[in-house]
Amino acid sequence: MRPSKEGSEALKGEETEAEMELTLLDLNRVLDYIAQLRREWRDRWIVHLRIGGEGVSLPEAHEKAYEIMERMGGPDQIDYLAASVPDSFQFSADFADGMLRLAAKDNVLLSNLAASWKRTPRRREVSQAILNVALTTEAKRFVLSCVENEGNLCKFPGGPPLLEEAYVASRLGRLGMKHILRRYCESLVFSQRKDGGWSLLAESAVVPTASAVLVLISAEIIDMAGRIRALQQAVEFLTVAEGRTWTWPSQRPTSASSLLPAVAIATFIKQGGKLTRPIQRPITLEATDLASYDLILTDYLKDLGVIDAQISREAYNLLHQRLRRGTLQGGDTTQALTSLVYLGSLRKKSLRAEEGKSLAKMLIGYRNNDGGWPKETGKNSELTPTILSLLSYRVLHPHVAL
Amino acid sequence: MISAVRKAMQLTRSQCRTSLHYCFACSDAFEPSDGEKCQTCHWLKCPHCGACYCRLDQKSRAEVDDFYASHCAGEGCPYGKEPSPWVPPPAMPSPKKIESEVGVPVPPPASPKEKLESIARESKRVMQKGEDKIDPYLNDHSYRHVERVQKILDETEENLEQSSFTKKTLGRIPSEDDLLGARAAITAHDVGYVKDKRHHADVSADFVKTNDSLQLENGERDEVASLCLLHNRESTRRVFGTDDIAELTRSGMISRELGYKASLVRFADALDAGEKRVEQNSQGVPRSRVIRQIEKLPRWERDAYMSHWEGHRGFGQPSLMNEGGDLTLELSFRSRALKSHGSEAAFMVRDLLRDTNSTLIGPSLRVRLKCDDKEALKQWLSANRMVFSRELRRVKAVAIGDEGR
Repeated sequence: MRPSKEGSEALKGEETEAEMELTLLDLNRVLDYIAQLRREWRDRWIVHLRIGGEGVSLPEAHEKAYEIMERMGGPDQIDYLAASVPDSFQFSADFADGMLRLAAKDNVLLSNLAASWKRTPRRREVSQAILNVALTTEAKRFVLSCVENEGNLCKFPGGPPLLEEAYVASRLGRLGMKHILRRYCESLVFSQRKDGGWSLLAESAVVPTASAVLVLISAEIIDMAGRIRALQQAVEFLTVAEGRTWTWPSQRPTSASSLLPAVAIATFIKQGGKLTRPIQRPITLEATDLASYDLILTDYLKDLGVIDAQISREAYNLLHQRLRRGTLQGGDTTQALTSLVYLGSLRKKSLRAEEGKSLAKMLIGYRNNDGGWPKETGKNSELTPTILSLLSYRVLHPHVAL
Repeated sequence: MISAVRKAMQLTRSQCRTSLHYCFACSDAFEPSDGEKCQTCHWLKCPHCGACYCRLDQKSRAEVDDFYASHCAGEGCPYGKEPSPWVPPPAMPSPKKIESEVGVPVPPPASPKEKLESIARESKRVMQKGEDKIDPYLNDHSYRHVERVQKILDETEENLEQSSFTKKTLGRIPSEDDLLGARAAITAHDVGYVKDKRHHADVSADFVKTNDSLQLENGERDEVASLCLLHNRESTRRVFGTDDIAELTRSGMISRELGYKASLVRFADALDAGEKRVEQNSQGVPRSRVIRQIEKLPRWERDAYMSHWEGHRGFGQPSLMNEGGDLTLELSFRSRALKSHGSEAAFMVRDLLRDTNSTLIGPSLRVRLKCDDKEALKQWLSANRMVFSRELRRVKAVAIGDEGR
């Protein structure tokens, strides 16, 4: 069946369209915008809320709007909120895919609508329920957009493989994304080289292999064929390479990349794995080292018993000072902020409520509208800072269901 | 019995050196070579009547034991004699003991038909029992809805197979057994409404996983539970971050098989829309009475629910057809409803297309829009097209009326 000429004519429109990113944190802003438009177009328009699989009209009053939303399913059930004036324009806050869409019969009207939206401020106070839903569901959407066809993870949507930082994926299970972790593990097992290593280059490399080891270890809860064999081969690769392409860290300062193989092997042994030759030695760090690591690496070190209360406290103080001085910059502010949150949680005296709130606010402030976090404010979202941020949000709000 | 035993023993005593044996039961003589050794008592079985030591009662056995000990043992007779005394087999344990130690006997697996019937029966029971808990101001979410969706699924599956969509998607035509999961999921997909509307898909999935009355094996339970979750876009989004089944299949989060089945379930559920869906509510109250109740509500509630009912009345039940190999979704509008509640109907169309577009089937669809009054349809499209134009752009083709047929 070809589309009929008549059909095409009837459906062809002269409307112009615009779209921009939207997050559930903008829900109040959307309601304010709708209230504004309602004043202008009072008699002519209809507002439609699709929520919980049903479509209903939205009440005028904000508090009634929230009541009907709660009755129909709550913020995590919202599909979209739209308004339409027949023959004039259509506005849609599409929370399902995170886009605000405007369509109007003429350009002037469209520009006015877009300008009006930009003028409508986002309210500072957002309910915890909406915040939780927004952060978790939208983050999952972003993380999923970093998954390639074979389950491989990229640094950002359409970007290069995550491989060197693959170990961050080891925490996906804790974030309610076990399905992505499983698929990534399968992809890693499939792409493992004959020498047991991984790399983006011609020869297998230590850091990607160490990263992959940590991911495969974390997947022990997943019933997956080939995982154990791949893990053993990878550890063998690292063991054989020790002394040649990498050495067990003994000199300080110790960068994260030089520490990673040691952490991988030590974690493997802690989980009951056996090496063909003993290479494990104690790992010693100082606070300045720890302050430069991300929270996942720090968490591994804590599990291995490498860091004690004193060093973590000193590292926390270092980062806290940098935050207060505004020197929390240069490359990876999200990493530093999330590490600060994590180190704060390790202290005997837990974070004060105001301190926790302030850190949470900063964390949310760093977030982009696509549901992900950038390495630095204002940049594009990437997978690693997104995972770090979700983990640190979890530290601040342990009861959030992910 | 004892007299026969005594007679046999007497005969044996007098003639055993001839090597003839005498049966304790029938007293007949037989050559030892003709008798078969009983594996239990190790005495020879009589070739005439089949009896051996096992057949004897307690008293007779006691006499034979005495006889053997006093007569046969000293003669070196090899039959029925073991170094250790013969121990009768233990009595069969009671059924209760067997159950406690070994477990309840496993019944043979149910047939696909029985499995489907068990889940349909239990789902219906639960839904009918909890019907009153479903919001009375929304359209029909009762088991009647389930029955309609079952029918729509069968028609959809037939059309998909005939149109080659199935073969292209799966590489084969699934058997009836293959589709058990999808059919079972249809019967259970809205069970959760009676407990928790908010997360009804999760509750339905949980119902499938934990209800012992369902005759499903473990793998089948998991599949049906997954399909219950995936039928609902909101639950899918919450778990995976997206509700797009094609995206989930592409990224490997779900297999192509599961994606196909989930698409079937979601598509069939979505097609139970339009006039039929609002003939009555979940409690079976006819539309006119429900509307009268709604009109008594405070204005904000009244408007919310009325738009829901009026929107559905804009069109008849959507139907999927196979037109020469092309999958066509036909929407037949009611001009009267388009004139009075055109915007509400437009949003319902948008909602329907969002549901169908989120399945593997969506991009293969051609949409046909019909109406009893073509002019009214054109005017409605002109005024409300923007509401669903984006959703329409994602389908393969669109036609108005019968053009292109």
